[in-house]
Amino acid sequence: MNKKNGFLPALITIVVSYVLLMLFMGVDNLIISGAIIVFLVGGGFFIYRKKSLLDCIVAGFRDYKGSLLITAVVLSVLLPLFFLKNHYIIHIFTLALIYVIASVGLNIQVGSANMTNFSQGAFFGIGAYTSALMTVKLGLSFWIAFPSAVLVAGIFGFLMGLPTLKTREFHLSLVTIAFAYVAYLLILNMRWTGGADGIAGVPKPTIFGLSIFKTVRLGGLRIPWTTFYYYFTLLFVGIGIYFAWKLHNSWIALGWNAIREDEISSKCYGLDLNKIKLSAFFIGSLYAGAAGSLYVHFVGFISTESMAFSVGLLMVCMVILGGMDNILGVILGTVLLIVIPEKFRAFQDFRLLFYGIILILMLIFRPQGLIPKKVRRYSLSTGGDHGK
Amino acid sequence: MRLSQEDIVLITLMLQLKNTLMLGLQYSLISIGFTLFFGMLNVVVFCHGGFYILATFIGTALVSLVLGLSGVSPVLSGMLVFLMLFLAMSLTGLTGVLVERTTIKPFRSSPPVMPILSTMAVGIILEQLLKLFYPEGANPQVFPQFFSNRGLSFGEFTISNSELVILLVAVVSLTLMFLFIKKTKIGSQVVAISQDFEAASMMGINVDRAVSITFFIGAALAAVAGFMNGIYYTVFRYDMGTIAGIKGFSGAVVGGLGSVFGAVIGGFLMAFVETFAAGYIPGGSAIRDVFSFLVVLLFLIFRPSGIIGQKSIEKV
Repeated sequence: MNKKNGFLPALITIVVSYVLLMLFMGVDNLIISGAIIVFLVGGGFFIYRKKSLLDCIVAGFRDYKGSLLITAVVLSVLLPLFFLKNHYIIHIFTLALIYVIASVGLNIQVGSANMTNFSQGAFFGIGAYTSALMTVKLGLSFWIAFPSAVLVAGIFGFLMGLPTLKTREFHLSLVTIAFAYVAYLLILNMRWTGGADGIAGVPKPTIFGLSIFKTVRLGGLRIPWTTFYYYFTLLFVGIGIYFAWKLHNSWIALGWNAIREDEISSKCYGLDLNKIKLSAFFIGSLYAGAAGSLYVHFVGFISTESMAFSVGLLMVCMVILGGMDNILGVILGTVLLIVIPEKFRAFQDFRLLFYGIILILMLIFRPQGLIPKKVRRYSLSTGGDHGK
Repeated sequence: MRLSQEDIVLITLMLQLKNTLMLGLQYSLISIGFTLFFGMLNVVVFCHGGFYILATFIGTALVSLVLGLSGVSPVLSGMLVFLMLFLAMSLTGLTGVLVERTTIKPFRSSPPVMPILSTMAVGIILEQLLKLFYPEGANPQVFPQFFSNRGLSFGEFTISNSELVILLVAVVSLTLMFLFIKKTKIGSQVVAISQDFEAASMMGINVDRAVSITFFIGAALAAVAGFMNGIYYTVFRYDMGTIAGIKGFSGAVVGGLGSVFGAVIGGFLMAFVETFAAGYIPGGSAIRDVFSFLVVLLFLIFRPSGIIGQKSIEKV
């Protein structure tokens, strides 16, 4: 009886936020957009203060994962259809999806294992450059370039993981900062990567030799090519989140959480710290590589600007804003940080200042993020053998 | 006069050593801040580079103001420039205290990731404020020239007046800092807090005050480095703070976090690697930072405790 209460509030929360987000992007009036933001923040705060309602919604999300997931998928699939006239908005949402992949990967290191990695932007760039070089210079297809980009980024992640085995906290952050700068400077100054000019003319992917990413006219309806790329990316996001979720509920993530809580005692319990840390860097970088490859085939151009130190910093912001070690939160944080500033393009210059202020306010007032991580629940029937 | 091949080699070497000295003093001054803060609170203040570049901007504004005055004799204006240096140091020092109070103190008992991120965010905010609200802040700025280019000459090798002033200021501030820590009461309080934060507060040391004073000093030393940066390179931009801060942090780590003397050595080592990689490795100028970061990585792999630091044994 009590269980039924949760579904409707949770559904309403999702639908209302979705409609507001669509309105926010759709209207061409900064005042209305601002009002929507104020309403969203106020509504969120209201729900947060009203404990019974909040518990109800949380219970709904917990008990009706399946049906709410289907709702979310349907809503994301419908999303581009609202903006067929304005393909720029679809462009932004596609970018947001690409960044979701990267920040879900970063969440493994920053959120699950508490290793503050500032070099996710560098791995993003490594993936993008690998994909761009393979398609432009070698003429290979996307379907060879994409897995190679993922793997190359993963290998570099593994290599960067090696010096972190002996280091923790600040020293570990310094390793990632140093790596980010070394990768940036080397790519900027090597000739075969195009130097400061970057690589242009990266082709769009083809599927079975067909180029499907073209603007299509159906009767009076014009469907921009970005719509198809949006669905293409959505597919990859789905696969990425599926694996991230599987990992989150596995032994591996339990190891990451163990070193987050206490590295020395996990060692005393016989955990292999090297394996745990290296796997976090390897897997997280795979995600960054995938995001980089999807990015470069979408935008068609890559330069070192897309992998600067600030990109990695921005990704850390996304994870913190959304909620460390919570995949749903990280997705929310990423979409908010990509989509909202786009609307206020008039204040483009203030974007980084805005990110900095958001980061500080979140750390002081809500360090657990918009959606805090859940305590793991194990029951005898599903996960009883975790104690073996 | 024709120079022989050997003379050219020698003069180049001397020039590189001079550059190392100038850059090394800057990095040391930044590294000391990192080391002081870390020794005291176990935090790495990632916005330290922000203090450095903030001081360069404040210095430019103040010195331009002085040089704009008409009817002031050169001697007086020279003294006013020194006064402005002190003003820039104090302002930056106060910024440091403010930053500690607002964004580091709240995280004293939280996991160490929190202050890393919050100070990182302060760094972004400082940098962006300079870029957006300083007049023409997004463009490269020019530090006003107030010293003639003449100076001490040894044959072909010269040390200009401005370089001599830099040397003097840096050495004096380093000495004062050492004296402060060794000789004054507050200095010994700082040392006590570094050794054991809780025990020190139980002994009746006003911890908050000592922390504030340390942040004032650390940020003021970064301000000296920022002032030197302006005088020595004359052209600077709002985003130079980040990389200088990371170099300073690297210097502190390489020297051994927590050791002031180590920070000086580490700062000079970073400057040495950077200068000589740029000078002697073909094509090394553009990627000189790669070499310094490789040195940092090597240290972190093989000697994470740094040159001076002691190996710490961890217990559960």
